[in-house]
Amino acid sequence: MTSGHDARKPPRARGFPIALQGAVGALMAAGIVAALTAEPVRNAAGQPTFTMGGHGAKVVFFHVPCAWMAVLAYLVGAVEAWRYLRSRRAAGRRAWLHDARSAAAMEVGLVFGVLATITGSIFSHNEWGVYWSWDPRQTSIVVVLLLFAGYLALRGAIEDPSAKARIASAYVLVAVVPAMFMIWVLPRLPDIATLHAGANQAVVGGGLGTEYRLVMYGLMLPAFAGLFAWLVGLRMRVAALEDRAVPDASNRRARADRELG
Amino acid sequence: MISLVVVPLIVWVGLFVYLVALDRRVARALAMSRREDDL
Repeated sequence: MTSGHDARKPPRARGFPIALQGAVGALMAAGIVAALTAEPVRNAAGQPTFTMGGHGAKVVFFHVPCAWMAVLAYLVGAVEAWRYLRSRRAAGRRAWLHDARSAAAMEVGLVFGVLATITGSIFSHNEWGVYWSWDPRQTSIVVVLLLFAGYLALRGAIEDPSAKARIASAYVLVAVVPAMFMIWVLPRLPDIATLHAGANQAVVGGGLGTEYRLVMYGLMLPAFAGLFAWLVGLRMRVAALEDRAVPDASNRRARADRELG
Repeated sequence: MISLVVVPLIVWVGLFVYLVALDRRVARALAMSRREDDL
Protein backbone atom coordinates (compact mmCIF):
# COMPACT_ATOMS: atom_id res chain seq x y z
CA MET A 1 0.00 0.00 0.00
CA THR A 2 1.41 3.33 -0.98
CA SER A 3 -0.84 5.88 0.64
CA GLY A 4 0.48 8.79 -1.27
CA HIS A 5 -1.04 11.83 -2.76
CA ASP A 6 0.68 13.12 -5.83
CA ALA A 7 2.45 16.43 -6.28
CA ARG A 8 3.86 16.88 -2.79
CA LYS A 9 6.07 14.94 -0.48
CA PRO A 10 4.15 13.19 2.28
CA PRO A 11 4.58 14.58 5.77
CA ARG A 12 6.39 12.79 8.53
CA ALA A 13 3.71 11.00 10.53
CA ARG A 14 4.09 11.56 14.25
CA GLY A 15 5.06 8.66 16.49
CA PHE A 16 2.84 7.28 19.24
CA PRO A 17 3.76 9.23 22.41
CA ILE A 18 5.98 7.28 24.79
CA ALA A 19 3.67 8.00 27.75
CA LEU A 20 0.75 6.44 25.87
CA GLN A 21 2.92 3.47 24.93
CA GLY A 22 3.54 2.90 28.63
CA ALA A 23 -0.16 3.35 29.41
CA VAL A 24 -1.17 0.79 26.77
CA GLY A 25 1.41 -1.68 28.06
CA ALA A 26 0.29 -1.20 31.67
CA LEU A 27 -3.40 -1.53 30.79
CA MET A 28 -2.74 -4.65 28.73
CA ALA A 29 -0.60 -6.28 31.43
CA ALA A 30 -3.18 -5.46 34.11
CA GLY A 31 -5.98 -6.71 31.81
CA ILE A 32 -4.27 -10.04 31.14
CA VAL A 33 -3.57 -10.65 34.85
CA ALA A 34 -7.12 -9.62 35.79
CA ALA A 35 -8.61 -11.77 33.01
CA LEU A 36 -6.71 -14.87 34.00
CA THR A 37 -7.35 -14.46 37.74
CA ALA A 38 -11.05 -13.50 37.43
CA GLU A 39 -13.58 -15.82 39.04
CA PRO A 40 -15.14 -18.39 36.65
CA VAL A 41 -18.69 -17.67 35.51
CA ARG A 42 -21.36 -19.57 37.49
CA ASN A 43 -25.12 -19.28 37.75
CA ALA A 44 -27.07 -18.58 40.92
CA ALA A 45 -26.96 -22.27 41.84
CA GLY A 46 -23.18 -22.23 41.62
CA GLN A 47 -23.08 -24.31 38.43
CA PRO A 48 -20.56 -23.19 35.77
CA THR A 49 -22.32 -21.73 32.72
CA PHE A 50 -19.30 -22.14 30.44
CA THR A 51 -16.89 -25.02 29.86
CA MET A 52 -13.71 -25.46 31.90
CA GLY A 53 -15.61 -24.90 35.11
CA GLY A 54 -16.78 -21.46 33.93
CA HIS A 55 -13.29 -20.32 32.85
CA GLY A 56 -14.27 -20.75 29.17
CA ALA A 57 -16.00 -17.34 29.31
CA LYS A 58 -12.59 -15.66 29.57
CA VAL A 59 -11.95 -16.09 25.85
CA VAL A 60 -14.26 -13.08 25.41
CA PHE A 61 -11.64 -10.84 27.06
CA PHE A 62 -9.54 -11.26 23.91
CA HIS A 63 -12.13 -12.13 21.27
CA VAL A 64 -14.53 -9.22 21.88
CA PRO A 65 -11.89 -6.44 21.90
CA CYS A 66 -10.44 -7.81 18.63
CA ALA A 67 -13.93 -7.77 17.06
CA TRP A 68 -14.59 -4.25 18.35
CA MET A 69 -11.29 -3.02 16.91
CA ALA A 70 -12.39 -4.32 13.50
CA VAL A 71 -15.58 -2.26 13.89
CA LEU A 72 -13.54 0.76 15.04
CA ALA A 73 -11.34 0.31 11.96
CA TYR A 74 -14.35 0.63 9.67
CA LEU A 75 -15.53 3.75 11.49
CA VAL A 76 -12.09 5.40 11.46
CA GLY A 77 -11.57 4.30 7.85
CA ALA A 78 -14.91 5.77 6.76
CA VAL A 79 -14.55 9.06 8.67
CA GLU A 80 -11.02 9.58 7.35
CA ALA A 81 -12.09 8.62 3.82
CA TRP A 82 -14.85 11.23 4.02
CA ARG A 83 -12.38 13.83 5.31
CA TYR A 84 -9.96 12.90 2.52
CA LEU A 85 -12.60 13.36 -0.17
CA ARG A 86 -13.49 16.75 1.28
CA SER A 87 -9.88 17.94 1.45
CA ARG A 88 -8.37 16.18 -1.58
CA ARG A 89 -8.40 19.21 -3.85
CA ALA A 90 -5.84 20.85 -1.60
CA ALA A 91 -3.55 17.83 -2.31
CA GLY A 92 -1.42 18.71 0.67
CA ARG A 93 -0.34 17.37 4.02
CA ARG A 94 -3.85 17.16 5.44
CA ALA A 95 -5.26 15.20 2.49
CA TRP A 96 -2.33 12.79 2.64
CA LEU A 97 -2.85 12.22 6.36
CA HIS A 98 -6.58 11.51 5.97
CA ASP A 99 -6.01 8.97 3.20
CA ALA A 100 -3.08 7.34 4.99
CA ARG A 101 -5.06 7.07 8.24
CA SER A 102 -8.03 5.57 6.44
CA ALA A 103 -5.82 3.01 4.67
CA ALA A 104 -3.89 2.18 7.85
CA ALA A 105 -7.10 1.70 9.84
CA MET A 106 -8.49 -0.67 7.21
CA GLU A 107 -5.30 -2.76 7.14
CA VAL A 108 -5.03 -2.94 10.94
CA GLY A 109 -8.76 -3.69 11.04
CA LEU A 110 -8.22 -6.74 8.84
CA VAL A 111 -5.55 -8.01 11.27
CA PHE A 112 -7.90 -7.62 14.25
CA GLY A 113 -10.78 -9.10 12.25
CA VAL A 114 -8.75 -12.23 11.48
CA LEU A 115 -7.72 -12.52 15.14
CA ALA A 116 -11.37 -12.12 16.24
CA THR A 117 -12.35 -14.89 13.82
CA ILE A 118 -9.66 -17.31 15.06
CA THR A 119 -10.31 -16.66 18.76
CA GLY A 120 -14.07 -16.85 18.17
CA SER A 121 -13.61 -20.17 16.43
CA ILE A 122 -11.78 -21.51 19.50
CA PHE A 123 -14.61 -20.26 21.73
CA SER A 124 -17.09 -21.96 19.38
CA HIS A 125 -15.19 -25.24 19.67
CA ASN A 126 -15.08 -25.02 23.48
CA GLU A 127 -18.71 -24.10 24.01
CA TRP A 128 -20.57 -25.54 21.01
CA GLY A 129 -18.31 -28.41 19.96
CA VAL A 130 -17.31 -27.24 16.47
CA TYR A 131 -14.78 -24.72 15.23
CA TRP A 132 -16.98 -23.55 12.38
CA SER A 133 -20.71 -24.02 11.78
CA TRP A 134 -21.63 -21.17 9.40
CA ASP A 135 -23.55 -19.59 12.22
CA PRO A 136 -24.97 -16.21 11.02
CA ARG A 137 -22.32 -14.31 12.96
CA GLN A 138 -19.53 -16.50 11.60
CA THR A 139 -20.89 -16.04 8.09
CA SER A 140 -21.14 -12.30 8.56
CA ILE A 141 -17.52 -12.00 9.77
CA VAL A 142 -16.39 -13.78 6.58
CA VAL A 143 -18.19 -11.12 4.52
CA VAL A 144 -16.69 -8.36 6.68
CA LEU A 145 -13.18 -9.81 6.21
CA LEU A 146 -13.77 -10.05 2.44
CA LEU A 147 -14.77 -6.37 2.40
CA PHE A 148 -11.51 -5.52 4.21
CA ALA A 149 -9.52 -7.68 1.80
CA GLY A 150 -11.30 -6.14 -1.18
CA TYR A 151 -10.20 -2.72 0.00
CA LEU A 152 -6.53 -3.75 0.15
CA ALA A 153 -6.77 -5.51 -3.23
CA LEU A 154 -8.31 -2.37 -4.74
CA ARG A 155 -5.51 -0.16 -3.39
CA GLY A 156 -2.92 -2.57 -4.72
CA ALA A 157 -4.52 -2.64 -8.15
CA ILE A 158 -4.50 1.12 -8.85
CA GLU A 159 -1.26 2.69 -9.98
CA ASP A 160 -1.95 6.40 -9.86
CA PRO A 161 -1.63 7.57 -6.21
CA SER A 162 -4.33 10.21 -6.56
CA ALA A 163 -6.84 7.83 -8.19
CA LYS A 164 -5.90 5.17 -5.66
CA ALA A 165 -6.73 7.44 -2.72
CA ARG A 166 -9.94 8.73 -4.30
CA ILE A 167 -11.37 5.36 -5.36
CA ALA A 168 -10.31 3.62 -2.14
CA SER A 169 -12.02 6.36 -0.09
CA ALA A 170 -15.24 5.92 -2.04
CA TYR A 171 -14.99 2.14 -1.52
CA VAL A 172 -14.76 2.52 2.28
CA LEU A 173 -17.81 4.81 2.35
CA VAL A 174 -19.78 2.21 0.40
CA ALA A 175 -18.39 -0.87 2.23
CA VAL A 176 -19.01 0.51 5.72
CA VAL A 177 -22.78 0.19 5.21
CA PRO A 178 -22.96 -3.59 4.49
CA ALA A 179 -20.18 -4.17 7.05
CA MET A 180 -22.16 -2.49 9.85
CA PHE A 181 -25.30 -4.34 8.71
CA MET A 182 -23.43 -7.65 8.88
CA ILE A 183 -22.04 -6.92 12.34
CA TRP A 184 -24.92 -5.17 14.12
CA VAL A 185 -28.16 -6.03 12.30
CA LEU A 186 -28.06 -9.44 10.58
CA PRO A 187 -27.25 -11.61 13.65
CA ARG A 188 -30.00 -9.83 15.61
CA LEU A 189 -32.83 -10.26 13.11
CA PRO A 190 -35.73 -12.05 14.83
CA ASP A 191 -35.92 -14.97 12.42
CA ILE A 192 -32.17 -15.61 12.45
CA ALA A 193 -31.19 -18.46 14.75
CA THR A 194 -27.69 -17.87 16.04
CA LEU A 195 -25.56 -19.62 18.61
CA HIS A 196 -24.31 -16.19 19.60
CA ALA A 197 -27.59 -15.14 21.22
CA GLY A 198 -26.42 -16.32 24.63
CA ALA A 199 -22.90 -15.03 24.27
CA ASN A 200 -24.14 -11.65 23.05
CA GLN A 201 -26.45 -11.34 26.01
CA ALA A 202 -23.56 -12.20 28.29
CA VAL A 203 -21.42 -9.40 26.89
CA VAL A 204 -23.73 -6.72 25.53
CA GLY A 205 -26.98 -7.46 27.33
CA GLY A 206 -25.65 -6.78 30.80
CA GLY A 207 -25.07 -10.46 31.57
CA LEU A 208 -21.45 -9.91 32.55
CA GLY A 209 -20.78 -9.69 36.27
CA THR A 210 -19.25 -6.58 37.77
CA GLU A 211 -15.75 -8.05 37.77
CA TYR A 212 -15.97 -9.08 34.11
CA ARG A 213 -17.39 -5.69 33.10
CA LEU A 214 -14.56 -3.95 34.92
CA VAL A 215 -11.89 -6.06 33.21
CA MET A 216 -13.56 -5.78 29.79
CA TYR A 217 -14.51 -2.10 29.72
CA GLY A 218 -11.94 -0.75 32.16
CA LEU A 219 -8.84 -2.60 31.00
CA MET A 220 -9.07 -4.74 27.86
CA LEU A 221 -11.07 -2.46 25.56
CA PRO A 222 -9.01 0.68 26.38
CA ALA A 223 -5.80 -1.37 26.02
CA PHE A 224 -6.84 -2.75 22.62
CA ALA A 225 -8.02 0.70 21.51
CA GLY A 226 -4.60 2.11 22.46
CA LEU A 227 -2.90 -0.74 20.62
CA PHE A 228 -5.09 -0.06 17.59
CA ALA A 229 -4.13 3.65 17.59
CA TRP A 230 -0.46 2.70 18.02
CA LEU A 231 -0.54 0.24 15.09
CA VAL A 232 -2.41 2.71 12.85
CA GLY A 233 0.21 5.37 13.65
CA LEU A 234 3.00 2.90 12.93
CA ARG A 235 1.41 1.91 9.62
CA MET A 236 1.11 5.57 8.66
CA ARG A 237 4.80 6.11 9.43
CA VAL A 238 5.67 3.16 7.18
CA ALA A 239 3.50 4.68 4.40
CA ALA A 240 5.20 8.07 4.85
CA LEU A 241 8.63 6.44 4.73
CA GLU A 242 7.73 4.51 1.57
CA ASP A 243 6.32 7.57 -0.16
CA ARG A 244 9.20 9.80 0.87
CA ALA A 245 11.79 7.19 -0.12
CA VAL A 246 10.42 6.78 -3.63
CA PRO A 247 7.37 9.01 -4.29
CA ASP A 248 6.35 7.13 -7.42
CA ALA A 249 7.45 3.69 -6.21
CA SER A 250 4.16 2.03 -7.07
CA ASN A 251 4.22 3.50 -10.57
CA ARG A 252 7.79 2.37 -11.15
CA ARG A 253 6.96 -1.14 -9.90
CA ALA A 254 3.95 -1.28 -12.22
CA ARG A 255 6.05 -0.11 -15.17
CA ALA A 256 8.68 -2.75 -14.39
CA ASP A 257 5.94 -5.41 -14.20
CA ARG A 258 4.61 -4.33 -17.60
CA GLU A 259 8.07 -4.41 -19.15
CA LEU A 260 8.74 -7.85 -17.73
CA GLY A 261 5.31 -9.23 -18.61
CA MET B 1 -7.81 -24.74 30.31
CA ILE B 2 -5.42 -24.88 27.39
CA SER B 3 -7.40 -22.34 25.35
CA LEU B 4 -6.88 -19.78 28.11
CA VAL B 5 -3.21 -19.87 27.12
CA VAL B 6 -3.73 -20.45 23.40
CA VAL B 7 -6.14 -17.55 22.83
CA PRO B 8 -3.89 -14.75 24.18
CA LEU B 9 -0.95 -16.40 22.41
CA ILE B 10 -2.79 -16.35 19.07
CA VAL B 11 -3.61 -12.66 19.53
CA TRP B 12 -0.02 -11.76 20.39
CA VAL B 13 1.57 -13.96 17.73
CA GLY B 14 -0.83 -12.48 15.15
CA LEU B 15 0.08 -8.93 16.11
CA PHE B 16 3.78 -9.88 16.19
CA VAL B 17 3.60 -11.28 12.64
CA TYR B 18 1.98 -8.02 11.52
CA LEU B 19 4.75 -5.99 13.20
CA VAL B 20 7.38 -8.13 11.45
CA ALA B 21 5.63 -7.46 8.12
CA LEU B 22 5.72 -3.70 8.85
CA ASP B 23 9.40 -3.96 9.76
CA ARG B 24 10.15 -5.63 6.42
CA ARG B 25 8.31 -2.84 4.59
CA VAL B 26 10.45 -0.26 6.41
CA ALA B 27 13.62 -2.14 5.48
CA ARG B 28 12.50 -2.30 1.84
CA ALA B 29 11.62 1.40 1.75
CA LEU B 30 15.02 2.30 3.19
CA ALA B 31 16.76 0.04 0.67
CA MET B 32 14.81 1.65 -2.21
CA SER B 33 15.67 5.08 -0.85
CA ARG B 34 19.36 4.21 -0.80
CA ARG B 35 19.14 2.83 -4.35
CA GLU B 36 17.54 6.09 -5.52
CA ASP B 37 20.36 8.04 -3.89
CA ASP B 38 22.96 5.86 -5.65
CA LEU B 39 21.31 6.53 -8.99
